[in-house]
Amino acid sequence: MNARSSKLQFMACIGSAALVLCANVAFAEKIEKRAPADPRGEVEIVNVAGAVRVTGWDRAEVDVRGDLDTAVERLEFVTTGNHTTIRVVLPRNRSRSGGSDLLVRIPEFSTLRVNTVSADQTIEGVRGVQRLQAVSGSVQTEAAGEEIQAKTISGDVRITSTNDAKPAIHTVTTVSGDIRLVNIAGEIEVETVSGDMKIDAGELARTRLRTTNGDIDIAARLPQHARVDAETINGDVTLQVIGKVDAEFNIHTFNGDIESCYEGEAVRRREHGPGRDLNFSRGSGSARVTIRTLNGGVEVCGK
Amino acid sequence: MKRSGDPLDALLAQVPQHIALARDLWPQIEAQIAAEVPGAHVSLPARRWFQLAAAVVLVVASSLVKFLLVQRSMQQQIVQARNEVVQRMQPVLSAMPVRFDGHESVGMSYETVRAQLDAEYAQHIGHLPPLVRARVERDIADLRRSAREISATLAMYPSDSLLQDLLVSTYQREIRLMSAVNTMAASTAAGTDL
Amino acid sequence: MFANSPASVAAGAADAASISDARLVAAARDGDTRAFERLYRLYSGRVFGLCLRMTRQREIAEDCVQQTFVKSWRNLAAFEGRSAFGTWLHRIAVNEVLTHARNHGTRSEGVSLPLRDEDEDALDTAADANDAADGADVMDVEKALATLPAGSRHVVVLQAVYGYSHEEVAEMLGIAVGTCKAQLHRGRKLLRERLGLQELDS
Repeated sequence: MNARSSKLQFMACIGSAALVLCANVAFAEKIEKRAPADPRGEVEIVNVAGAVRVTGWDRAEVDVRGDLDTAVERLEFVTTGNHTTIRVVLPRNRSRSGGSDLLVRIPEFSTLRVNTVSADQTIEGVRGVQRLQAVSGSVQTEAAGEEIQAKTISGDVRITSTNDAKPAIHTVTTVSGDIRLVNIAGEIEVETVSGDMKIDAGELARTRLRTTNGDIDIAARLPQHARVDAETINGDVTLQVIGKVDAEFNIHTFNGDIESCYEGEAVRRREHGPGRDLNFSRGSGSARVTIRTLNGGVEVCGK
Repeated sequence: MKRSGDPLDALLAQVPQHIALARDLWPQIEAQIAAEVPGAHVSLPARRWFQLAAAVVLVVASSLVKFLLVQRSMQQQIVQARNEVVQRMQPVLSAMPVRFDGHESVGMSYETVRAQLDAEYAQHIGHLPPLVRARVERDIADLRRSAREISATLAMYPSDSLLQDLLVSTYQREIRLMSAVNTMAASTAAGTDL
Repeated sequence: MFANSPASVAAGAADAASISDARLVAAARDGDTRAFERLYRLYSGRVFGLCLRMTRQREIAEDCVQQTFVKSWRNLAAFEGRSAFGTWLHRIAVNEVLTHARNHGTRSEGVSLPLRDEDEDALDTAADANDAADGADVMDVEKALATLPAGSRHVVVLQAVYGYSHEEVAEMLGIAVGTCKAQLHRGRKLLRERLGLQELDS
């Protein structure tokens, strides 16, 4: 095998690769559309596969750009009153879609609804209410002070609060997607079957966390009169309370272990069964933390 | 989960992972594998030509091959995942009669709602992409298995309030899960078949 | 991480081992039986340790080891290097143990049998060879492990002795993660009772 033969082989590979790449790119349809919109209106985006990226801006307009997959029948872009709809429409019984990537800019105080199947959703700078739903795509957004509802079946959800965000109500539901909430303040309700949930450094006023097999990992501040209710069947729960602890803790497991960093608190056997309880208070006990698990372990510490 | 200071962990940590075999099994292993076809020692030039030819074919036909492979792979994975779920959780895949405390049923109105949701779920689950459907079925089966486990344990410890709370919560979770899947699967089916 | 800290030395040793394994696996894949023998010499003790503790009988464990290596030879092309080679061998070994149990009608739960003398000897030798530990304590743990019902024993051995995560153990044994956790908890509780250790809580 000589150097000339090797070079010819290399050029043949590169040439073939370039041919195929050009062929694929040539058939995607580029779109660019813009229309006026109510600064506090509703924007609804529906896509099947690919990606949806939404950015809030300070114009009273909705702008959509992107690449539509060759399988797409059309892109609907309709404004009726204060409602704008952007929908990727596939033909009926179309069995495959490679994916359409949309970049949408909307008035920042819009109410946003996004509905996707396997498209990932990334939202930035939107300060209105958000209702986000994906079957298997991931959802990533910012909380800026209004309610967020995020639902997926197997996609992961990540919500990060902006620095100036006011407390709000957030509801996140997945079946097997993982959930990550960063710096969230307000009331949260999170539910998953097998996904894990991690809540970082938020200030939790009212919190309800439910999982069957996933683990729950919370590091948060507990303001006065906070309520935290965490329940798993088989997952583990780790709670780190940041800062001052002024709370009553009621922890119950059936098969799992309970570990607590709080000195002098005894884990007791349950009265009517083989499980364990840990009940104690710190400070005036104004906040209330309840943790229940069947087979999982619980660890409670201050941070 | 950390268990600092637990003497059991200290003892288990001392258990050696390696145990020496009393006799050398290599001769028997070698005899068995000698009957296998050995890996080919292809000569260097021949291998290079083969790789070049394979690379060119793959690049030129990449779209078509990927489509066929992904379709087949997804079908194989859904079949395998379903078989695993069915094998492990056969008794709980179907909506079993709800029992509370192992003896009392929860009530006809609940059973009716549940049965209706289950029928809709069976209808809509087919609209989900195959891999997602496999995961949902596995998770619903896990949820139902957990309910059975709690119910059976409650039968042994009927006065345990933790078990009572967990069982109610698990049944509620099942309802919410089926509702959520029904809604999302229905919206998936509306003009956007995959 | 400092250059010569214990952690960095251990990490370096682990990297070197995995590179060495990768070379041996690649050579074995090409038909080099001497490379495969080297892998056998490196990993047979670890595989036997798992098989013996899961089956509790030396002859069956030896069969398990033999079949594990024969099957791994046949399926070397399927080893993609995403996990450590030893982990991959363990997965095959666990399969062998479970298949043997299914085919020979071994009880999966219920009454646990004491070890036979010859099986106890095998574990005794391992306990004595472990310089870092008190041989008597380790032997007690081995005996106590052997008395656990199969479900709990498998989980405790894989998780507590070999360090696999709940998810890995559940996948290897074909059980739900929740079942794995429950079995681990029950196994640890029984071990404490049989070793005369106090409960963690008061």
